[in-house]
Amino acid sequence: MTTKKIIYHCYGGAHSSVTAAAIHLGQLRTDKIPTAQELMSLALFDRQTNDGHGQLHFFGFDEWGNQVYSVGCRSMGQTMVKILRGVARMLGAADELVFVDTLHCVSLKMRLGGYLSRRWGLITLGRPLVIQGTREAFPQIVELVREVKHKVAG
Amino acid sequence: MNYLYLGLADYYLPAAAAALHLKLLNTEGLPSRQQLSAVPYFRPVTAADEGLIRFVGQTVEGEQIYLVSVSKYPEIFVRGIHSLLSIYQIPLSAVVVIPCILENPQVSRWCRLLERLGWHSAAQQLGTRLVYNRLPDLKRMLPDKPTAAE
Repeated sequence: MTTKKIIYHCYGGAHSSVTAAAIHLGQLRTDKIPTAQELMSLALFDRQTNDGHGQLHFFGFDEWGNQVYSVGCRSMGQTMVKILRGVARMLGAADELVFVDTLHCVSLKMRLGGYLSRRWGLITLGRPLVIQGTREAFPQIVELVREVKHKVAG
Repeated sequence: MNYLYLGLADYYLPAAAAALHLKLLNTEGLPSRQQLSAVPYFRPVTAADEGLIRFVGQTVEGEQIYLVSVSKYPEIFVRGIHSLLSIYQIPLSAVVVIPCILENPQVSRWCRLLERLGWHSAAQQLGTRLVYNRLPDLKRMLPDKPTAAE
C-alpha cells in the first residue's frame, strides 16, 4: 500500500487543522481534553500568520508512514483542494493526497478568538477565547481524525 | 515542464496568455477580436470553473499549458502549489505558475453579468478590451522563448 499525504485544512491553519494534525500523530491524547499549555506547545497553534496561508506545514509521520500536514486556505478550502489535486494529477501523484476539511469543527469561540488573535493581533483577548473554543471542539476534532485514520488504514 | 496561467475570477487574461505561449496568437501586433474569440476558454468564468485546471495545449517542446481561475486570494494558491512541489521534492520549474491578474477584478463581474443576461458578444467585447489593455504585460509574462504549437 502506498503511503498518503494527509492534509488537514482550515481557514487560518492556526487552530483546528493544527489540533487535528497533532491528534493524528498522537501528540495530543484523545481520552482527555488538552490543557492550554498542551495546545500552546503545538507548533503553529495560534501562531500562523497571513503570509503562511497556502503553505503546507509538515507535522510528522503517523504509525502507517503517512505524512501529515496542515494548511490554512482562508475561505478557499475547496478551491485549494481542486487546484492541488489538479497539480498532483499533472505529476501523476493525485491518489496520494487526502484532504480533510476541519472547518466544520470550528466553533464560534474559535472563530472569534482566532479572528481577534490572528487578524487583529489582539492576542491577550483572542488567545484565551480560541483555546477555550478548541477545548470545547476537541471531541469533534478527535472524531474527525478517528474517521480519517479509519479511512486511510482501511 | 508545465505552465499554469492563473486568473482572478477571469479566463480572458489567462486564456490569452496561454494562447500567446502556444503561438495560437501572434506575439507581434494586436490580435483581432475574431482571433481572440477562437482562443480556447476565451469566455467569462462560471462558478463551475472555480479551481478547475484546464488543459489548453502543448508546445512542440512538450510543454503542457494549463489555465485556472480562482475567485479570491491568488497568492495562497501560488504558495500552495510551490509547497506541494517542495513536498514531492520536485523543482519549482516543473510547474510554473504565472498569475494573470486583472487590474480591476470588478470588470470580470461585469463580463459574467453580461453573459448571464444573454449578451455573450458584449461580454466577449469587454473581455477583448481587457486583453488589449494588458497585452504588453501578457507578452512580458511569457517565458523567454515562446514556442510553436503542435
